[in-house]
Amino acid sequence: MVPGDVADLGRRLRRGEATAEAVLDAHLGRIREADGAVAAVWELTEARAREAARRADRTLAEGGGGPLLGIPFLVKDTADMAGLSTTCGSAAMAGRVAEGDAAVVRLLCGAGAVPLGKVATYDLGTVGPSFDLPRPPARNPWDLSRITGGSSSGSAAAVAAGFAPIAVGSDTAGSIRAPAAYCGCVGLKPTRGLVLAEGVFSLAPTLLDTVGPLARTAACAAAFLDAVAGTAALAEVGRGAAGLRVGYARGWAEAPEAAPWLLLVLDDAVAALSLAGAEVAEVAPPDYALLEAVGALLIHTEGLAIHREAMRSDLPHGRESYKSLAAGVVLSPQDREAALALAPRLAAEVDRALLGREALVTATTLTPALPMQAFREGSVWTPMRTLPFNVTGHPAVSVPMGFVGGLPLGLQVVARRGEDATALRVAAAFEAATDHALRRPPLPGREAWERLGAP
Amino acid sequence: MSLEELRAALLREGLRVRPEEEEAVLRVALFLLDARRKVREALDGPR
Repeated sequence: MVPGDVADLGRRLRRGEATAEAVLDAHLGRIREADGAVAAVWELTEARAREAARRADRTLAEGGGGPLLGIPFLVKDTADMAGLSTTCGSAAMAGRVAEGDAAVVRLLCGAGAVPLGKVATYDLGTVGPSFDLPRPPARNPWDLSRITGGSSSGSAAAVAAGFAPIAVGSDTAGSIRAPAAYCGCVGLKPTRGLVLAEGVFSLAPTLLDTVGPLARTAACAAAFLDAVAGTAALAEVGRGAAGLRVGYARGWAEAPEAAPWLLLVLDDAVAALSLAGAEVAEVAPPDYALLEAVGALLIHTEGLAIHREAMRSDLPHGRESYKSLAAGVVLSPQDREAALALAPRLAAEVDRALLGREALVTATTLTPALPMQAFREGSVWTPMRTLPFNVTGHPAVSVPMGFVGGLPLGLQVVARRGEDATALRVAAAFEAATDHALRRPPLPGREAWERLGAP
Repeated sequence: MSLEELRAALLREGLRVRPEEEEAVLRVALFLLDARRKVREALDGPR
């Protein structure tokens, strides 16, 4: 049991050891203690949250409710919350007040979860961190001088810092999984189309955009998925790894840009999974560079098409996202068509790698979080292995796989399309076989958090 | 692709990239052109 995750909080709520309002206050207190350092939270909706918590307490008193009843969550500022502006981090989009909630927010609230407010994103859900935006970038709770990764920067930092057990994120090329890896939490990119994207800002909607959770544990991510997609993932995550056949895509981590010790950490993680009962065998993964090429063409043709008009205007654009999107001028609609034509073939290659196996594993990113300072002069390439599964549509989850120099790294687990619960089951089995999910970042102020009994 | 060709493409699109930003945009553009080559070769075979 991981203190502060949905299973732990849910048990305390049902036993009457805590009220939903007390859980809310503990998380608000935690935000007040530590967000001055982390800078993840952009806007709190305390009145709405308190109303939801009191409603949850009434339902608990009647003996009702599901796993998310009374559980606080935060929302990336690319997703709408009624009455709040959805800025996507950009001054150019300031003042766009949402009339309603994004579908994912509506469904979480419908499951009794408690909406705390909005958290940081990289500019327009693209590149970062940037220093010319209305708000400073969120910082990595494990080392405040390092980046969070993005674009779900605030969602990952907030979950890692203990501000909420769950945060809504979005993932077009790794925007949930990479920050989850850098910040030491769980991040799920669901199967394409499984989670409704209504009310979430698009970047590459045809194949790549997905909405999913950043979460303290795989069980938290499973509860999120069950609430917003009608799956039965939470029932699956406790089943362990025994009998699961897992392909190890080690080749994707054998790259010159990888940290020199990455393979040691990855091999150890795979050994732990094997000791937990999974049958692990190395597989030859599909051509990573080709998958990345398809994804890049889609992001830059569709992203520029979405933002072209605004970029021609005098609106105050963040320069890093502007430069990245502007490069798309060298592409044509035919390049997008070519990428769309190739994507199904590549998806079939991943299907073939999954034949006779329930999951594939590899690294999420090839390095830990880089120093923030490295980005002061502009964007820096951060090698990761996430974009292929946006192209192919397979579910992929990043789970903390170890720490080097106090910085977390992520193990990426990929399952067949529609079998998100299996990816989460493998992630949960790995969590149970290690103690990574129990570690907490060295942040100031733990009083509010400790009142809930968390370490 | 040269810087001049990139400037012309940006101008056609009505996008305004500052002189000090051009090198960074060109780096991404060259990456994208390489991605286009890889995708076309995968579809049609090497040219």
